[in-house]
Amino acid sequence: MARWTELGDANARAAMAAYFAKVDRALAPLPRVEAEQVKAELEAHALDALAEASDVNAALAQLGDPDEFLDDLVADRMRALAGRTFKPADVLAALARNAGSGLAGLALSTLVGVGYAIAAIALALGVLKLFAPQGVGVYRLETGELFIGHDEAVRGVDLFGFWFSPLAIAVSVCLYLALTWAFGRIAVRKSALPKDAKR
Amino acid sequence: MDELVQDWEKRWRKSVLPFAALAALGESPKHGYGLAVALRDVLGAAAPEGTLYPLLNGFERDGLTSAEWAIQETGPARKTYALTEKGRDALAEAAKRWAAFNESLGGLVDGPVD
Repeated sequence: MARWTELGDANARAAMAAYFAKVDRALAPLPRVEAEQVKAELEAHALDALAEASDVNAALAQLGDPDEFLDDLVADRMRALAGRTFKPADVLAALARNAGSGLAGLALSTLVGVGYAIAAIALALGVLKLFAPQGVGVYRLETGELFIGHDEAVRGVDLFGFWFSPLAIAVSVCLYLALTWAFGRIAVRKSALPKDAKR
Repeated sequence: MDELVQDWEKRWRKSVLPFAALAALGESPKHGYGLAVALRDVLGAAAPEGTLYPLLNGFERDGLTSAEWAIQETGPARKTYALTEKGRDALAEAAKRWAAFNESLGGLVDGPVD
């Protein structure tokens, strides 16, 4: 059998079409080539299982619900994609996907998201210093405490002066690159408990 | 009681899945369905066969397996997974720990049950 579309039984074709439409939806967040590769593996698996089971519903039930078993795979590959491209859009998509993919994914997304928020604040302060130098930077206050951020009323010694701007931007870029690199390579290992066993 | 033990069994079968999958790939390179067939006795009804794909994806990401696509004359292309050197090392280490675990557990189980 070359493809499931060539199955002689119309009911079997319909069941396969419904199943692989679900697979397509589950894989939609991935780049097209990656999604096609995963789908090809599942198609080969389903056809082999069908040859053995000779009942399409049994073969597909044996393979499982794609929404469930592809969730981790898609989240994992989206992280890997973000770690390869370093594009903010890929990073945001991977963060959102992982946040909705169980407790471990949510914890990871929250942690990494806080890191990105710090990088964004550093970038904003670095850029702001270029246009409004007064009150932006690292100041030693008269009380001896350190102040980092933006406050036009701040009184104290500006420790870095104009250099705050390139330093803050460099810190922001380095943090973004390091976080994205690590996010793309980290493995989210979930509990091995079957879903129904947790209920 | 039987239901409780069935639940335990389901849990332990699923928890040994990564180790069992690595061991099956250690015997010979396999594609997804071939691996599912090799693991049928181990996996039982603990998890659907599709669960193997995130696992294989993780093995590849962690460098435990390498994969090759084989174009078929008929049918969709197949991705075949084989253990890398790192995968073989991981399998050897896991096998060592499993043997120790099995021995300790065997000692407990064989004792009080009569």
